[in-house]
Amino acid sequence: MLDFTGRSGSGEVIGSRHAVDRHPALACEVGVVRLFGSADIGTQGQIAGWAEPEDGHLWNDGVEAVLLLAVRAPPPRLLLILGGEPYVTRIRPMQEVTLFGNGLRIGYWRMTQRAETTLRVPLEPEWWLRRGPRALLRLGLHLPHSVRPKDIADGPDGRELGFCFRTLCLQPLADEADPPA
Amino acid sequence: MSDPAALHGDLQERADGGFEGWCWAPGRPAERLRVDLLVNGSPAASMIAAMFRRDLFVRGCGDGRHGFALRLPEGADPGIDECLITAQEHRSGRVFGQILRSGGGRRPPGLTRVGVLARSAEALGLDVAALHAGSDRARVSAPLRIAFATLAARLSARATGGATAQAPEAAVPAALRAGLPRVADPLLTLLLVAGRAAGTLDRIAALAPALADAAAEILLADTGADPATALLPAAVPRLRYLRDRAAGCPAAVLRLAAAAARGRVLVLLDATPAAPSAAALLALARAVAAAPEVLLLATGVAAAAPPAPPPLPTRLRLPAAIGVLLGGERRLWQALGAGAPVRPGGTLAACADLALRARLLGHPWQLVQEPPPPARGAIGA
Repeated sequence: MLDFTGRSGSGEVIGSRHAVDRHPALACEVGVVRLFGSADIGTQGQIAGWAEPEDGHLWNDGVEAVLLLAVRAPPPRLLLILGGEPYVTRIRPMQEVTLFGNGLRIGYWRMTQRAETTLRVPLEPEWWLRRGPRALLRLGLHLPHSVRPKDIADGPDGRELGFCFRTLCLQPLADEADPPA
Repeated sequence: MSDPAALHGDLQERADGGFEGWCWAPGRPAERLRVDLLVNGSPAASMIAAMFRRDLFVRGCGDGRHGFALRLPEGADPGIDECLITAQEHRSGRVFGQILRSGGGRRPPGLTRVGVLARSAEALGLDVAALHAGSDRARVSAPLRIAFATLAARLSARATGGATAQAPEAAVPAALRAGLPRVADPLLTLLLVAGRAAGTLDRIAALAPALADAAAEILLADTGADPATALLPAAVPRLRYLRDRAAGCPAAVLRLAAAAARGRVLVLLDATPAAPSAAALLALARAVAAAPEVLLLATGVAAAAPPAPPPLPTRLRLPAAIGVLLGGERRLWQALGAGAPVRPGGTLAACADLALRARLLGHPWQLVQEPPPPARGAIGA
């Protein structure tokens, strides 16, 4: 018996030839705010390019990070909201994030302030990959200005950081409605 | 062993309009619970309560990672409209916090009243008398009942010219409009089970002057006896307010209140309109601190004022009337309340239940004897 996340009772992920099916996805319920970090999301859905989850946040580690999301199929029109803080310093005064959904470029942000930042992007139903009772979206994050703090004399951290992720939420979006500013 | 159904939590409104709080089930201490926020009874936002809060960790609530903080999404936030925000645990549907948001004071009072009237108009097809009495619970949502009952009370006051049905915020004494004193780390938590809103307000006004000197906070526990009571937190800044719509009986609300209390010593007060001094409150706190395993139980001497003291083993005599029903160290109180079934009944029944449980668990009682209240001190409802 498969549950909504596609796991069997033993915890094994029922896979197929497709890459998105071989990894456990982060099962999201529409409207529920999830917390990155060890207490909630942990390592769920993190396919590549992530640091170890910490208390209440998660850093990318490298210029590419991939997160696999799953929702109950069929997905409605949704608004993806990622909350966090870019790694901006005097020496690295800017971060850029380009977001890809199942290979499609769906969002771009340029950040020059080290402050709480919300990345919002509408997700169209047709972008999702239907797999039985769930729909999957492989979120690719391209952060070309990620940098090791130790390389810019900002501490001993050897991870390649670009954005500190704190929250994730998929909100229902009315048809034809523009995303909130 | 913890009651698997027990649930503790809190909901507070932040200055920026967002909400924060925590939710934890002692019977499932490691589980991250999903919290739903409802606006006037309709789901508006959800979050996994997994944020770390040091205060939870210190209080022994699991690993302390049970906090949440969120804002209402666009479209769900009623903005300047008055609304009731409810926090409930998703799986059980149990409510652990409610806030009546007044709209931040940005809306003219006249418009607010018209808004209340508009929402109340939806209920006009129902039994108006039952709505006013709060007895039509099965057919009307709680926020609507509160709004309608408040409106009905105001209209009733206008029609009769009487002062008894005055809206609570209009009846708030000037001294209370500035709010209760800020007590960062309270020694005492004074639990007050709300009766009629006007009587409750009198009691709060009587207690307020001694709060700062006694390092005490007031926690108002509302069982829904008077819908207008829900407006008091908006009228009295920094009044801590708690309402358990799901259970609706004093025993359940007292359990929640014990979990939400910040003071080391908990005192359950009756409705006597006495004005206790800070010295009397501190005497009570000292008595509890000296014997943390003992439950203080009122003798009722103050209420009855008999000509001669009864032959009871009274050990604690307070210098002034406080109106205490029960007192005890917070951990003792929580231990006695946790895991026990909640039975319906009034406040006194809840006290008797708690005292009986203390006796069964081997905790001794210490009887509290208070001097009679001042001559005008009639016992409030």
